[in-house]
Amino acid sequence: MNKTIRRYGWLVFAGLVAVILLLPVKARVQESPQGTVFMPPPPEHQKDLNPKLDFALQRMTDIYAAEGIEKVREYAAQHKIDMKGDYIRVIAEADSGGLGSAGLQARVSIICGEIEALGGQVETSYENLIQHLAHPGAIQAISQLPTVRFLRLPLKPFPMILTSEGVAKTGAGTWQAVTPYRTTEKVKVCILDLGFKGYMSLLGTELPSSVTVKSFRADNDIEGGEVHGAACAEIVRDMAPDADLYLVNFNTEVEHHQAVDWIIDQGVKVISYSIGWTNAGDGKGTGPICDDVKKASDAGIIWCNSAGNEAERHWEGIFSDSDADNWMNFSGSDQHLMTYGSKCYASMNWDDWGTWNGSSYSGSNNDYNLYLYYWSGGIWHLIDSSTGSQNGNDWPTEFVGAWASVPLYWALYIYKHSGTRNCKLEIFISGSYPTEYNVPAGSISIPADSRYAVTVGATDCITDALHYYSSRGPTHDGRVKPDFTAPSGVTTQTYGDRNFYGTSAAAPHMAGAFGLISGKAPFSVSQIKAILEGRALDLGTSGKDNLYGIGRLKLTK
Amino acid sequence: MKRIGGLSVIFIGFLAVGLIAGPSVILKVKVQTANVRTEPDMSSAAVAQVKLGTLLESSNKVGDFYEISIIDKDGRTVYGFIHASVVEVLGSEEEKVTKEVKKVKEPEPMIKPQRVEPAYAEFKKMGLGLFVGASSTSDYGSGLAFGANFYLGITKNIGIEVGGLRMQTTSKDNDDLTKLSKGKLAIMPLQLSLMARFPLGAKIVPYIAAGGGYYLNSFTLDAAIVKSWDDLGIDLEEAIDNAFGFHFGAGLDFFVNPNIAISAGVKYCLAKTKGSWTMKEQVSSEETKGTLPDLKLNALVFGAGLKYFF
Repeated sequence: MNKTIRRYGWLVFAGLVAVILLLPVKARVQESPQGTVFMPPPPEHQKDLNPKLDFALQRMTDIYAAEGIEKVREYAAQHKIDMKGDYIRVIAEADSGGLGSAGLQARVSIICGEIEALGGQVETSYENLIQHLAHPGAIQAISQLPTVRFLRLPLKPFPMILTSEGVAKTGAGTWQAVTPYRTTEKVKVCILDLGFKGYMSLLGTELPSSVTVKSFRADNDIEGGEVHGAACAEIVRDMAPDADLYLVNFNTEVEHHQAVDWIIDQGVKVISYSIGWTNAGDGKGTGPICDDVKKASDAGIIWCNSAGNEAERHWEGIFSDSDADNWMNFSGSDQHLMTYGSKCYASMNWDDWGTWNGSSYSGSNNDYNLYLYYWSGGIWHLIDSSTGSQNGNDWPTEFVGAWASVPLYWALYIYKHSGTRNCKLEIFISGSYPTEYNVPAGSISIPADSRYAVTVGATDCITDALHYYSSRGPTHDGRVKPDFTAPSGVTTQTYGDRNFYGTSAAAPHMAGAFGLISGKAPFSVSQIKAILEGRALDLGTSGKDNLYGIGRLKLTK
Repeated sequence: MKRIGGLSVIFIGFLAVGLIAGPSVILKVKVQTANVRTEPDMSSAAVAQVKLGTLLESSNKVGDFYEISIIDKDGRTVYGFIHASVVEVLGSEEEKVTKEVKKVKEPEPMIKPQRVEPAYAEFKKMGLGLFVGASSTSDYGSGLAFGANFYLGITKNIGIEVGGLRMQTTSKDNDDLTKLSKGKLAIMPLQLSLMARFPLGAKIVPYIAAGGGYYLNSFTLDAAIVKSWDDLGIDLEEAIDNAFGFHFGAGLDFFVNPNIAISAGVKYCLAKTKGSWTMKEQVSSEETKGTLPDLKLNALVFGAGLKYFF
């Protein structure tokens, strides 16, 4: 009976969602550029590209040479690229081949000096990665330093904001009431995020009166212009009121590595991580960010990671070119993937990463390019392209992005420049409405794909329905993800009444549950995970599945 | 029946009372040692001896013998007859006796009190005792203590005691994870003690004792704690092992008659043992457990009881 009600309830809900979503889509179709004649843009000439520069830096140096610094700033703003004055924040990868730790350290030190000599400002470093500010006019020169393997933009994280009723929903209150047994540990739970703007005003009320804060940003700004972390911390506090909270922020992957090392040294037991990365790994749980998760896990830390909010803004499929013009045919003769909104940022990667060796992937020799068009007055306008050269040792990634003052139709085109096979391509789109040809499966973000992360999807804090945006598995190596779902759409001081949506809200519930139980009973984190798996409320298909994981977080038996 | 109204040995203070009670004579032993015989016959057996100067009272004379009673060194009353030739009659008329009484009230060495006092506290071969009191443990609070013991005398001053004791306390919440949690702790030592007894006078026997024992222990985790965790789907168990231990103490037996004594004492017990705890989650059967390797069960026990000696 319950199953019937659930099934029909789900159908009703799905119908309502479909009606809500399809209405604007239908309206768009009537006005959309479907059926217009599309002239594929010529592929950019790639032979002159500097193989030691990533595409965006190549583009910015070209723009600087042709149009000056103002145009570079425009491009940076359009692509959310960090600039400080006239300087671009970039990562220099030192060639670490054959060097031991001491040798690599010496080489990095020499490169830092050389970068400074070329007008750059070194901010920080981690192993072979040197984060620095470089003038666009000096980027080519820096890339030519013989011991610099590659020069690129920093990998960029993004918060999964989409605002706690979750305490009652999960039964955490009963655990909060019990007297600790055989433990006096004050569990350290870290919220690793981009920013904690406004956290000071929450101290003593929504947050403990005292918290530990640490910024790994180059500017040491713990607030980071972002309230997201403060809201996540609120939820952790709601779930585990006796935990010691560590608020740690970062902005780049170098700072991320440093932050994780510091967190391990602090004896933190649980990390709440509501951050996702794109183009930062192969989706199989490898890569620089996933390595940080493994490192934390090896140190006994439980890493609770939001699954991502990309279920409706994700596409993946094998390159298909039925008309043999090297342009991807998404469906029949349709060669573009359309979306709508005032912004469109698209990250593309394909299944040719090669082998992860602990510092980089061996790279791709299948070269695909990505183009972004917008629709205006009956014609598609090319607004951005990403034509990086993948010739054997480059990451199989491209990124385009643009925004407008009003919502627009955006179209993405994929061009196969060269390659030995048709690769499986994947695109994550942010900033716009649900994507045409949307493929929810496999929309797990990075590092939620890590086998060492407890990946958390989002269910409604009242109805337990899976939130439409909640990223789904499997991972690119076929593992079921997420591991759990947890309440979303909850209330925080930061975001307001039932206004914190996203898997960003779900992950702190999970982290809070680990923090709460760890502070009450001497179970290991792996035992707590097993306990929570045994108690989870199974939703969707029976057993663990790629939508709900093993079920919605439930602390009661 | 013949002995009723006969001579008896009495305290000086009782003499007047004895004289007022009926016609009798006061005799004084005039030889170094005189026999007290079972019958008024020189051939009968001697049941006791009295020394020179001993005062005796007799209200009956059979032939040449005065019937008397004395109390021997063990406190028993002995009835018998003493020959008239070994005693001097101090007086048979009331006036004369009264005069003599006044005389004996003077500090003349007559019957020494300690000799005629009932010697309850003398050597005891066996005894059984019951004890109730309180115990105060070093780590787990205080509570009721009670027990029983069996005493076996070896000499007047040395004996062995075998006893069982139960001390029970309700331990409180504590943050020391090396100790037992809140709950009911019962320590039940079976103890063997070597006892040294030092009789003081006829009724009071202080003693000291020391020995070892095997401690049967039990611990029951607080029911409210168990329930609160059971409500969460977690089973809790906490246990304590038995142990060997030592003790020493001191006390006092006060005899109210030759067989019964009121006893009061204090004892310090030293024992160390191990414990264990287990948490088991009911759904996943995930279990975590630990040991409590150094549980101190030291306790001060004090109280009072009754002992019956055979």
